[in-house]
Amino acid sequence: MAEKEKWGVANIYSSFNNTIITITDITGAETITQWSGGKVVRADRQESSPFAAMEAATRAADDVKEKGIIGLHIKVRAPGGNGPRTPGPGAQATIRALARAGIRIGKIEDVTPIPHDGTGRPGGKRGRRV
Amino acid sequence: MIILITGTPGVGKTTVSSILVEKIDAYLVNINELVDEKHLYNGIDEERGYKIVDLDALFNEMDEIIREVDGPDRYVVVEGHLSHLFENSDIVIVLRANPDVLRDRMKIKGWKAAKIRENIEAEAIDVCSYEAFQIHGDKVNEIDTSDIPPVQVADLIIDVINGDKSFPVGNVDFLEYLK
Ligand SMILES: Nc1ncnc2c1ncn2[C@@H]1O[C@H](COP(=O)(O)OP(=O)(O)O)[C@@H](O)[C@H]1O
Ligand SMILES: [Mg+2]
Repeated sequence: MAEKEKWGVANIYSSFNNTIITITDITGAETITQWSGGKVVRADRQESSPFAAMEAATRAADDVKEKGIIGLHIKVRAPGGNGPRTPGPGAQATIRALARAGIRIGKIEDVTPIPHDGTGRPGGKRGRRV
Repeated sequence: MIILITGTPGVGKTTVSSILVEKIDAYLVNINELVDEKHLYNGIDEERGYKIVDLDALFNEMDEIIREVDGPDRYVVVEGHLSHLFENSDIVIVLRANPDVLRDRMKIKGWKAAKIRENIEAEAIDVCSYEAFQIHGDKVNEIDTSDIPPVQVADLIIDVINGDKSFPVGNVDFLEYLK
């Protein structure tokens, strides 16, 4: 039974203006679906809202369920949030909406890119748990 | 007056700041040079190879410099991709560049592909602007430098300083690049 359960990876990119969710197979090689807040909410000033992110996530969940995927591991790239280096409202809303759509949520990783040249900030480890 | 100039590495902070300080006769603080000179780092990031900046020590140094040189008729320009994490500011400028343009500017530096990729992703999701906005709010201006030369970028910054122009956070959006 367990071996028939198909899982995928949801990459969530959240910026000041918008959220994009890209869902791939477990290896990351094949993109299954992609939605953005801007695609579901046409009004420019709405696309960054948690509502837009949730709508995008709900559409993405429909697409992956159709492919027989029951769960998603999450990789979040999102600056800002409540404190330094926590996901923004778009990212949190996206994860909640996926769960509400009946998708099982696996490992959640914060892989927010860190600007760096010869110098960078402390705490620069990838794969931090959110 | 304290002007913080930030933005993803490679976007043009050092180039533009050197022009700007000539034009407005400002005192220039280059964070990367300061970190090297005063050894304001705690070690090396294992994965990426950068010097891990001791932010408390850096901000103490910056406080001291500002105490010495800032005044009613004096401009202090602080440039570096960590400058916006310093809380004391009058104006914060985030320089931006379209990821394709930024890639070309970074290639000149001879950086490895992984380093270029991570910085480009940071640019596409607004890391510096988003953080700057959280700390400095409406003092933050984002200037898209993709199609304008450094001298003109410096002139736009002067317009912002003089209150003649503003470029609110959110006016630049490169997220589409990740599609
Ligand atoms: N507005 C611009 N237009 C074209 N090239 C630029 C511009 N600003 C900077 N550059 C070039 O991009 C490269 C990176 O600039 P630099 O000032 O070192 O960036 P930073 O200090 O932000 O890392 C340099 O080769 C510089 O000449
Ligand atoms: Mg520089």
